[in-house]
Amino acid sequence: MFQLSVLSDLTRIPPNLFSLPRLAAIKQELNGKYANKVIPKLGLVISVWDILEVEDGLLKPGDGAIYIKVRFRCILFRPFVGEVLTGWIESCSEDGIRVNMEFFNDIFIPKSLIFENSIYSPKENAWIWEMDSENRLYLDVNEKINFRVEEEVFNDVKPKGPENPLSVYENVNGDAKEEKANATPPYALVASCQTDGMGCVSWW
Amino acid sequence: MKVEVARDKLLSNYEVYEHLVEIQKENSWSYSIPDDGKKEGKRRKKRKVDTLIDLEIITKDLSRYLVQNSQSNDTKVEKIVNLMLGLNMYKLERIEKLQILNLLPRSLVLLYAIIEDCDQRFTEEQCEDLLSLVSDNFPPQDGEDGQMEVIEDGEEKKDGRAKEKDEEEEEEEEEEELITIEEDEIENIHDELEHEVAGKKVEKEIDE
Repeated sequence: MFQLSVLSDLTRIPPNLFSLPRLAAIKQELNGKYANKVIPKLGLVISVWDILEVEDGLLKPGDGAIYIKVRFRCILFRPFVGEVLTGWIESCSEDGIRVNMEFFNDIFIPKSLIFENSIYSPKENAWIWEMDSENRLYLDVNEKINFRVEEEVFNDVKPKGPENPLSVYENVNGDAKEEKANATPPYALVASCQTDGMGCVSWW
Repeated sequence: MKVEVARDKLLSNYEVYEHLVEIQKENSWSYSIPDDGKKEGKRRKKRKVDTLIDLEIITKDLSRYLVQNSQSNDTKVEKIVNLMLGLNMYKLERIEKLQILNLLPRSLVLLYAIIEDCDQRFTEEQCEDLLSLVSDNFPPQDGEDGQMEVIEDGEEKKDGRAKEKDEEEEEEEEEEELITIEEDEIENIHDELEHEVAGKKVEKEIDE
């Protein structure tokens, strides 16, 4: 589920951090820059693990800050394809199940990857696995489930531009808000729930 | 930024959890009311939070996730070493061993899900041995054993989750209070900054 990656970067230590020991200041800057962010094609950074190498600092004319090239290792959340993870069902819809892992929520199980003979019941807002004519197992919201990672999707997210001041008047219905909620995540997982051992933890 | 080694090492949940606990200790983010709140200490803490807010969020969410998945403070390193030594007796891939350590399978079904082609590579006896190895080193906690019970408790569990959510909201409220205090401080800083800028202008004029 987690891995260490070696990165190198040029960090800018602003003057207000000069009072700290050098390593502490670098760590703080790196954590501020990388923690809880997705690196494309690499994964979600949790935090800096350790600092391997610190080069001499550089100064830029007209800037009070110091620039230091560092090599460091950080913890990344990057499950491999085929790994079994545990999470909670966030929501169910006709298209599939959305899974929530507290710190990472962009996990989706499409309907084609849920158990065979499963149907969605809009009335109960749940997916039902009909094992045989007698046994019906429910995949309810907030149920703790096991799932298998099938595919990882990285999206290039463009930087946010300035907001259109006219949009306030144009989108009276609040479309803008919806757009924000449906924005493509930089890192998402496609999961499956088809084999024995998957599905609600309490079943097995 | 340059990625030098994409996958240097794999980490177990335990190692990650230990690291998070350390970060929380360093920054004194305990998410509970501190015993003695000295003013000076509190101030310094809040300044840090400004830049490390993302780190605080992720450590909080992730450690909660790990705790809910049978990770606890009293996991002993010897137990993990014991388990790994035991697992080394079997012909398992590295990632399979890692997953066994992370998920601590209690049933054959889950073990089969973790280990590829389990029925061809291992006999049923070996699998049973593997399971007992796990439960010897990490005895199941309350609620984990007795699967029938868990099913009956399904409703209660949901309530538990709801309660947790309530608590979260409370926490958020507390945080909001803190933020308002911070805003006052920020205003002060702004004043100071303006003074400084004004001072510089005066200097410039003198230079000219």
